[in-house]
Amino acid sequence: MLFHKRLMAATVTLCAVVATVFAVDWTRRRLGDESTLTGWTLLIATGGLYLLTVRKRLIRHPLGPVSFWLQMHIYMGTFASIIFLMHIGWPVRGLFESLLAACFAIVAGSGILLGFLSRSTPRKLAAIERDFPLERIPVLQSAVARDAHQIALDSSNFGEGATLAEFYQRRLLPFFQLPRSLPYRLIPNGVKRRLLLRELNDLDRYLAQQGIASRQALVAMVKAKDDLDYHQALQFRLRLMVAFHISLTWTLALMIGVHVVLVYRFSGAL
Amino acid sequence: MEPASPKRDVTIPRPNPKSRWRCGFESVGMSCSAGPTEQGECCQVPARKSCAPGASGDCLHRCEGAANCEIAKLRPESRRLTNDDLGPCIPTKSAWFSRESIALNMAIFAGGILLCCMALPQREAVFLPGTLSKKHAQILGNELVTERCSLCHPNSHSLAGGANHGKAVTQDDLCINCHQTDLRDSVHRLPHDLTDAQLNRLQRDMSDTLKSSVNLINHTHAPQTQSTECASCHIEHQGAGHDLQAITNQRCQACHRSKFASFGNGHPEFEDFPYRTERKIAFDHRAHADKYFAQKSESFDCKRCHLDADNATSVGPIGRSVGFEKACAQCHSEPLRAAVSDGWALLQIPSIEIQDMQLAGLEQWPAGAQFGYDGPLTLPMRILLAADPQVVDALGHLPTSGQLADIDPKEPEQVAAAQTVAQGVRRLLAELAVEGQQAWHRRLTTVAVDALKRNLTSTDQELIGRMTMGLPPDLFRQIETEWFSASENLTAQRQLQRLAAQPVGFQDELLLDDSSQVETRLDDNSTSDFMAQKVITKPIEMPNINGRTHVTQGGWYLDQELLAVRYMPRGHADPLLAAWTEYVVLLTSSREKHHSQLELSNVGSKMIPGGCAECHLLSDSNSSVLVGDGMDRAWKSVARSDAVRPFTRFDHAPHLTLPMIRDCRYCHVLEEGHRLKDGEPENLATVLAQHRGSELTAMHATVRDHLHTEFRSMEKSQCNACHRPNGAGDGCTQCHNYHVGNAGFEWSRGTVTTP
Amino acid sequence: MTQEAVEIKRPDRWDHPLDATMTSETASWLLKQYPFSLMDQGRFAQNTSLQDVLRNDSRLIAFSAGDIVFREGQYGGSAYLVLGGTIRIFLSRLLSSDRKTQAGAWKQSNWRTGLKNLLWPRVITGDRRRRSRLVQRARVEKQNEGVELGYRGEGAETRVFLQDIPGVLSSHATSEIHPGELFGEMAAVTRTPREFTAAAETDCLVLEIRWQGLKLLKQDPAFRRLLDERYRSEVLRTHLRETPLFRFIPDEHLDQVIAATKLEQFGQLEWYAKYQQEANQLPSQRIASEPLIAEEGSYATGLWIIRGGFARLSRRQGVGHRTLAYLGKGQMYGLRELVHNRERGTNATPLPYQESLRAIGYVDVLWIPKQVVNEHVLPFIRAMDLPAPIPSPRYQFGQPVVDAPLELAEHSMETGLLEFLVDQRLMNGRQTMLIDTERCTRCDDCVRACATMHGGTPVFERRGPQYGRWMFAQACMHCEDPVCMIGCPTGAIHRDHESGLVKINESSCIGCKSCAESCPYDNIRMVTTKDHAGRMRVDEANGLPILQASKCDMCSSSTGRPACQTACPHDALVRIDMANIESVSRYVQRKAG
Repeated sequence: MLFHKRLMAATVTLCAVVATVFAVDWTRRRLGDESTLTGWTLLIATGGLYLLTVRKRLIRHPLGPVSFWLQMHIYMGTFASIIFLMHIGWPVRGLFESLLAACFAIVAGSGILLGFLSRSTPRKLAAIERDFPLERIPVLQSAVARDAHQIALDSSNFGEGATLAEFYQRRLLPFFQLPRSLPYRLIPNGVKRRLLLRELNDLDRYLAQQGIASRQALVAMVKAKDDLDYHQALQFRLRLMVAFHISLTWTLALMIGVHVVLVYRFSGAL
Repeated sequence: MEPASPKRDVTIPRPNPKSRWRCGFESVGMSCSAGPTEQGECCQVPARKSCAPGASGDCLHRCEGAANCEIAKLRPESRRLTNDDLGPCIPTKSAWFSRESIALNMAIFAGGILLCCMALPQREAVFLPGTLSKKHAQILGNELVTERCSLCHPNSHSLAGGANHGKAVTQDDLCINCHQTDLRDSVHRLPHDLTDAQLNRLQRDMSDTLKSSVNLINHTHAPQTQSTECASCHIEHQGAGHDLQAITNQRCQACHRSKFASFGNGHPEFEDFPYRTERKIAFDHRAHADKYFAQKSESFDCKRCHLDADNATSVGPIGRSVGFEKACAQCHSEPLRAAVSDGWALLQIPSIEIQDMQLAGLEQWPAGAQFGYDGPLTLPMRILLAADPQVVDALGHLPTSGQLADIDPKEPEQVAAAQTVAQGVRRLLAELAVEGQQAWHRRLTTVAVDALKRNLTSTDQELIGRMTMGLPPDLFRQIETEWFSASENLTAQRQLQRLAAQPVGFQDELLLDDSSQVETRLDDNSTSDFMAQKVITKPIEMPNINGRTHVTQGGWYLDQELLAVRYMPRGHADPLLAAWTEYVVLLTSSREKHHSQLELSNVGSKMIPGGCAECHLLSDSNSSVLVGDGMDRAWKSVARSDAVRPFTRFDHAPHLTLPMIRDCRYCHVLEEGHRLKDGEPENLATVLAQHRGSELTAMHATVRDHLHTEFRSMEKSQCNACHRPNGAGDGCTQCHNYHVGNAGFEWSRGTVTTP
Repeated sequence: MTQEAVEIKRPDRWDHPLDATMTSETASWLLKQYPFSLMDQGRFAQNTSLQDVLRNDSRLIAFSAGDIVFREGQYGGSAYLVLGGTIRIFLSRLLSSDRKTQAGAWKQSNWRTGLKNLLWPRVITGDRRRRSRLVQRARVEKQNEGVELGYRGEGAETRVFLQDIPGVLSSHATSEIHPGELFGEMAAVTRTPREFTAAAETDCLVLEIRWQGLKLLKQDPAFRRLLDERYRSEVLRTHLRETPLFRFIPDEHLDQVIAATKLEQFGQLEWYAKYQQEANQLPSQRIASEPLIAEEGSYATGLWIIRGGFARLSRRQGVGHRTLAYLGKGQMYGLRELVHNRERGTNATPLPYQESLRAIGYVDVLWIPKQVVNEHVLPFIRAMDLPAPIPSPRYQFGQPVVDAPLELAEHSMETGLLEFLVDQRLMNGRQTMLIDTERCTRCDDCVRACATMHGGTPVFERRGPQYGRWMFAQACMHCEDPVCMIGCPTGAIHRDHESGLVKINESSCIGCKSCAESCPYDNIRMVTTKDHAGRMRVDEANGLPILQASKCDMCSSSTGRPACQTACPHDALVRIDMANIESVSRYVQRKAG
């Protein structure tokens, strides 16, 4: 069912592209100006992309679910990107034109990337059994850090030596207190988690019962912290990508406007 | 959902992603039910002072209840924060709001940058969509920066430009402003710069094979012929290296629909290329190559006649001919001289029966012409007489040979005709004696007018002018006095003038005044025996003037023996002979043969001495689209010009550099002419031999036919040997022109009126 | 939000009496009437005297002949006491259009109208709105035969009345209600939809008592007695008629059934308090502590029919219990066993109950003894409607328990989720917000949309109980059994007549937090209120902000589906009726597969 919908939408997009290609060829044969044709097609398609934003603003009005508009956005975006490639001449000349092209390319690129991320990320997020709202994660992290710290402090009072405390000081403190490394934030993974857990388990041979208890507590803390970091990294990455995608929209609109005006003024019209 | 204890706090506000600012304490697990203000300052800046930490009801800042405390979930006993641990609340932007504001700020920033760029003097550099092509760049280089754009782009800078004036200035107009020299403003938008009428004519003239291979669109209605603009083919701002004239084949095939992959496969075959143009000189290449040059054992080198390095034209140094002097004189000047060795008798007083003179009212007819009907009625004389209405009919009754000797005295009307002609001659001479060149000119004009049945064009006038030019009037006075023994006083005058008038030599250009004559004479005959004697005492006695000796450099003189006015031509390209030949051709070329009396039908090439018409194919034909400007175009050896084939471009120069084809014969192959019965290849001489004496036009036609098949017309394959995609290139525009509306290209016979 | 505040008096109970025109005179006059005359005023607390109750929580309504008091399927928080004239209660379905109203919880509106409204926004005057509603009703009522409806009155006072009473009465089974009798209280107290239509036969005077008042009145034994004798007479008949199995039973047999039927309640109405305490026990303990209605392996003595609330259908598994399903309103327990035994005949040893039935919170059940079922019910049930005999019974007398693994039926969802739903009492929800965390990108568009719809502050939170990928967000579920209503002193929180949605009347909410605290799902929050100028309302007494309960209202103010669902770009969010296991499991499986 869903699959069929997608198939149909994809087919429509493809047809649109093919139709445009033929139209362009036809115009070329008529000694017409194909860049005007592609230009307007591109302009309309891009306008269509902005409809998603409009729909989101007009949430009060029953204009169909936003999910539908998002689908439309995606397919129309694909279409627009293809037309874009047809529209610009190779190589792109002129400072302004290049900037405009770059602008469009960035938005399109981030959009495509976003498409994949917004499919893959939720699955990863859902793998953690509890869901953390991004805004609350710092709180939880600090709480976990605090508790871990407490456990480490207490552990030195058991008279079982300061193994745990020392290990905490050496390995865990940075893990709990500092934010994760940039590579991790880009591609979150469980390497560090597994490493720390193994090292923690190895400590058992130096610990007695109480020590082991608090070691287990620390293990729980590590897991909790890592889960939090994982969520934070993933959600932040997604949100950043969205921001990136959106940040250029109005600039793009502005430049497109200037471009159109310039083209028509310099061709003598307007 | 975690278990909710009874004392959970239901007044904790829900996180609101819509709000622009988030409470600064959210990051430490506390939040405020009111939240920051729109401006992003903490709602409780004043209230916090009085806010007791941990107080339950009356403080808006509170820790979330243990039930919802995420910390509690992670570990049952966890320390709780109090307000003391906190600094002041510094609200943070919410993700949504920061996202929006970033987008907006970037747009504003970009807008600002753009505005700045527009303000800059070098704004063109910013908005320029690519650099101009080299040539344009050079032209615009010294323009003011601000005016560069507006030179090609109407109203590019000021809103006031173009559009809102009465007539909008299009970009094409601006192109034409500079290019009007080679493009006529009115037509440059039309396909090939040609009007519908012209295109129609072209299509009509197309051979069927071509028509079949090229599928032409309806150029009157097809959109691509209506809305053509310069920019639709010549696209600028493609970088300095870009060639504005490089047009893709697709452009051509927009109208020329017969699609073919390349020049090599599909392009229609050539038709009699490159020999369509009319031959002006009847030059038999084969005969010269095989016989004449062979006999003289000279190498027959094309370049000798065709390579004119001195005046290379737009289409290279190769010309139609380098001219008589360089090319032909070596062999042909002598025979020419010989042909006209003793001048040309334009007028000869016919001799008539003595007894007829009285009843014809002809007293004092020269004594030398009083013994029976005799003497020829020369062509010029006949033409001049034809202008005399009383004589015209008589001319008809004379024997066709034009020899009075053939008159049969038994035939009364022939005799009568002869007498009328005699009277005509008398009148003619008298007129000439009295009016001079004027009469001559008048008669020629009259004849021409009623021969052509139209008013004379300027070229015709000029032609007749050339025929009259240099005609000495006192020759005819002398005739009056000497031959028709006019009154005594005239004789007396003649005695006086004897000396001055004696040498009738240098009169082909204009009559010099006496003094100059004397000088010249002295200079000329410096070596003669006149020099020997100190002073001339007794009157010298003179022999009759003999053309060969006295008029070597050409000119008019009197033949006292045959009583004729003779003209001694001056070798090749004598203006008078040329003029007369043209005149005759002009008359004969007039279609309907109304002039039965004036027998021009059998005016052969020999009628005019020197036989100009044997080599110069004067009489024109309609086969060509082109027409020369006046007749003298036919004399000149025209340079190859793109006017001949406006749509095709060819430059010999690059081709001659290639050793393989440096020899012209690679492309220009002589046809094996069909042979005569005796196995001799038929050549021009034989053709002429057959047609000599027949009508001029007919003869020339035959000659043309003969010469037309002289060369084998070129094959496409010959070009295709080099002109292939990865070779010398085979784009349409490499050999074909689009803009043919340029000055060199004219349309023939006014059938197509060029706008 | 702007920070300057406006000071008002903190609202109080009875700030908004049911009828403002009610005077103390009328109240005192009522005191002399039956049954109030019998009541002992001493039993009532000082601040809520009987007279105040009558004055604030009740109102006098004069119905003219034919007026419809309430219609079957409507929700209403009021009971009615007849003071004069006769009221007719229709035991059989009067208007076929009723009950449908629940289905169409909100008015669906298509794209075109939406777009039109967007482009040409037009103010719908109250007048026009009323007319449009009338038209709509008229269309609906065309279908049902014989019953002609008319309208009288204006605006909110519009009354629907039956055109030709004698005709209608002759064609429907009805029962009379005479002065001094009470009706409609069951729906009011148990928060269930009306089970019958009531109309005035003659012109009559009726006292409407809202259930908050009713609760107070119940303190009096006399009044309670009055209540208890009510149900059997008319409600039960209608109710039984409603249940499909009993459709074809002739009246005389039905009378027998009614006579034998026992009406029982398990658990208590305020279950949520206990539930909250028990919340952090072990599941096995929790189940064990649930009031047992019928136990597996015990004699199948009769047929149980759920009237209200939920019951857990479970089986012993290992040391604990495994939930097979939860039974809601109208569902039965024990029918299979009874049928099976009847088929086997008397000589064979009868089968005991195969599963045990427990009350989840509060449940309201009917019990019909085995003999009555065999005699008066089963004979009249079409064979096709009867359940198949049990092929391999788990419990048989004199034989060991076969602890066979349970085969799950076609559309039954995985047990884990089922247990979870029941443990969390999520099956209660009729508009539960179900979020698929495997699709949700946490973009918070739903919350933002919600905020847009509700003046800048969202009325739900994108967090809550999670089972695997399924998150049950903290948005009001508009429960089948809305316990939040119980505590409300002013009736500000109520059920909508038409849609059955639970709504809060802002004008009468006094911010007492009782609903928020009694909501087991923490879906109601107390928020600071603002006036139209956007100023925060602050108590003039102590300058503290005035709070009001805020919760999801399914965006019923606007047309179309709720904003949260519309706004989700990834189809991750859905509002779904949990009471209907099939639909839920179908949705879950669709998403999974």
